[in-house]
Amino acid sequence: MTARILRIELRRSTAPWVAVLVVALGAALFYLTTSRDGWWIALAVQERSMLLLLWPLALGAGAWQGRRERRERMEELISSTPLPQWRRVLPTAVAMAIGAVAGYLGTFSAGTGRTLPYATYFSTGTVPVVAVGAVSMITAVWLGLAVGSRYPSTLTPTLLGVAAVAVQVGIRGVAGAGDTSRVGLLLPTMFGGPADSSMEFAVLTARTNLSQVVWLAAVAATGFLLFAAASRRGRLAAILPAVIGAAAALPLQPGSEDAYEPDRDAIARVCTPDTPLVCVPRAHENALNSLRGPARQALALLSATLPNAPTSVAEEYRQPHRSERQTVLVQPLRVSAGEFTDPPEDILWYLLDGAGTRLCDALDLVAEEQLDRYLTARQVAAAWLLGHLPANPPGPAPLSPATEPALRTLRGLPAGEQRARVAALREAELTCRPGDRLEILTGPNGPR
Amino acid sequence: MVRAVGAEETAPATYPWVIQAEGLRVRAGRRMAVDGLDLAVGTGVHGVLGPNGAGKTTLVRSLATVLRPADGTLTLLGQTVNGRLDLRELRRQIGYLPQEFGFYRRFTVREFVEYLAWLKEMPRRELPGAVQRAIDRVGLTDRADDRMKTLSGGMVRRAGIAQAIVNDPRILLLDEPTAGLDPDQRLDFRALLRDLATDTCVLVCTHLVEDVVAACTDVLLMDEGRLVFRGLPADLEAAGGERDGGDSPAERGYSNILRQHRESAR
Repeated sequence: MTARILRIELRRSTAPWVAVLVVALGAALFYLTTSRDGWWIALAVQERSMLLLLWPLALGAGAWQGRRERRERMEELISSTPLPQWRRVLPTAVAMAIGAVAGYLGTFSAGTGRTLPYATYFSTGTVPVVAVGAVSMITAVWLGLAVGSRYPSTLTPTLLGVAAVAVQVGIRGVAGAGDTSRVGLLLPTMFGGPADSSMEFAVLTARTNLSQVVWLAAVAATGFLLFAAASRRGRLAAILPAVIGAAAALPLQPGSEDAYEPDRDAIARVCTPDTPLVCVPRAHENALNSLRGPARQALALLSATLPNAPTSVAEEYRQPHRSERQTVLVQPLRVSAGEFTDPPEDILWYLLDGAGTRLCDALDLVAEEQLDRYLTARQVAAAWLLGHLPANPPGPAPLSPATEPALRTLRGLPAGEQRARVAALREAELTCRPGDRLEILTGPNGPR
Repeated sequence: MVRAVGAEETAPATYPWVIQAEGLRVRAGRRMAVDGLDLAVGTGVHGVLGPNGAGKTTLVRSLATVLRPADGTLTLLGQTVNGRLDLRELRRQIGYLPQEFGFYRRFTVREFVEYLAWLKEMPRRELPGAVQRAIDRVGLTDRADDRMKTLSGGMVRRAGIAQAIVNDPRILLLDEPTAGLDPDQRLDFRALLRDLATDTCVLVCTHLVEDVVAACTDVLLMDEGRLVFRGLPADLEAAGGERDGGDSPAERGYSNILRQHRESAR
């Protein structure tokens, strides 16, 4: 393959059009759909999900290019020339691959407008997600070339594109929307990732990436070999890579459970340089400033009333959820475009819930009444610290009808007694010791 | 421009004829379009005449190695074509302008001719020079960087001739090369043919008897898949009588030979 011929194909084939069309559709999809902005990994995963449409587009464009010889009646002349078919089609295939990859990377750059202003953390897991997507685009155009040259009908590109969308949607339907079946993870769109709320904390495991790239590259090889095959035997042999690829990729594919893993760097704590210490997972560093306000308020309210009050606040992704004495922990909050999506007063409520403690999973409350009393007690403590009961507190549980009367009962006690009881509740929650929490706050016997 | 001449080009040929066919039969679809043709031609310009359906295009397609002979033997440049799988070496030395000449519309003339030169496995170093020379020879120099789709019918035909001659073929097969050319261009084309005749075996299929008489060293007349006449242009002109149809001696000769052949066949 000479560079001169490749240059001709890059200019005159469908290659530049693939790039332009993919970027146009991709950019439109980016800006027409809502997403949480601010992470490169989220951008990369979102672009992968857009392959539902971008991939069929590249496939159809490949088929359009594959029809060229028939469409422009060049078959007669070409069949009198000596160059072997595989060498003749190589520049076309390479040019189309370059066009498709350029389109995919161009789309990613188009999405940077919504990421760059907010992104403070770059997950290295982004690179394979983008790379595998780019490989899948080569798979698409080469398969398209193969089908288009074999069935050079005017309808081929459209039918092929529509069929590709239908097959992907069909596989999703069969495998179940939330399910991450092995077959589903081998689709270019790799549907079935972690919930959107925690994408910034996850990376694909190496096995997932590897199995995807093995499979997609093998199908790409089959596409090229089909396009380059000059005989029936050649076409039969061309199926081989796809078969081997499937045989290698399916066992490699870890399946739904282990497809993703937490990104250790993303969940590590980063904190403010000054006091009071306010910390977030690294992936939320871009929103750290918007946590300062509610965090200071919460710490002030706690230290004004309680002995041994905590001195710092941290948003904590890591499991298990165990309270810390010196630090008020809050579960991961929703961040977009460099800010928490919850208003500051909601965040303040989260921090004060249970007097600055986390839910005790260890209590294992199954009976509904027990659980209700537990959650009510935590709400009463928060409202007492805040000084009032919000009309509609944001959670973690809906406002219990028992909260308001319980708060009144607590407030009816002497001031010192009130403080002692809230402090006792906090102590019980920090240690997760068994016992009825509402009894601590409002019971006749008090905390002792 | 002076072209480098390789040793293989100046080596004496070891075969008596450039194109040799014996009892050649070639199918076009179900029909045996070439049916027992004997032919032996060397360097020069050979005009192939004949009515529609005489088998001219099928003959040329088999010479271009696009169609495989069904029977008989076909020898090109001393190599038997029948049943050969590797025609690569041979195809490098063939230039072909198909009757239905398709082209990549988005390519420029230069790109298109270069692409075909590449398909014909020309050495990379010679490519740009050979492309320019071929474009110059067909008079498309000032349109070299225009897209193929912007060319008129006659220019497309000339671009087709340019791609056919770009590899300096030993065998040049031109099927209806003058279709769409205006009178001036046809004169230029005849001059080009005479120029090529010195070292190339050119086979020109045409309906235009005048072109054959003016530019060919040799006339071949086909009918129903066979060769029915072979001679000099002067022989063709001499064959016609006053009562034969046609506006020129050559056309009268053409009609007369066909009529006589058909009568004797009955």
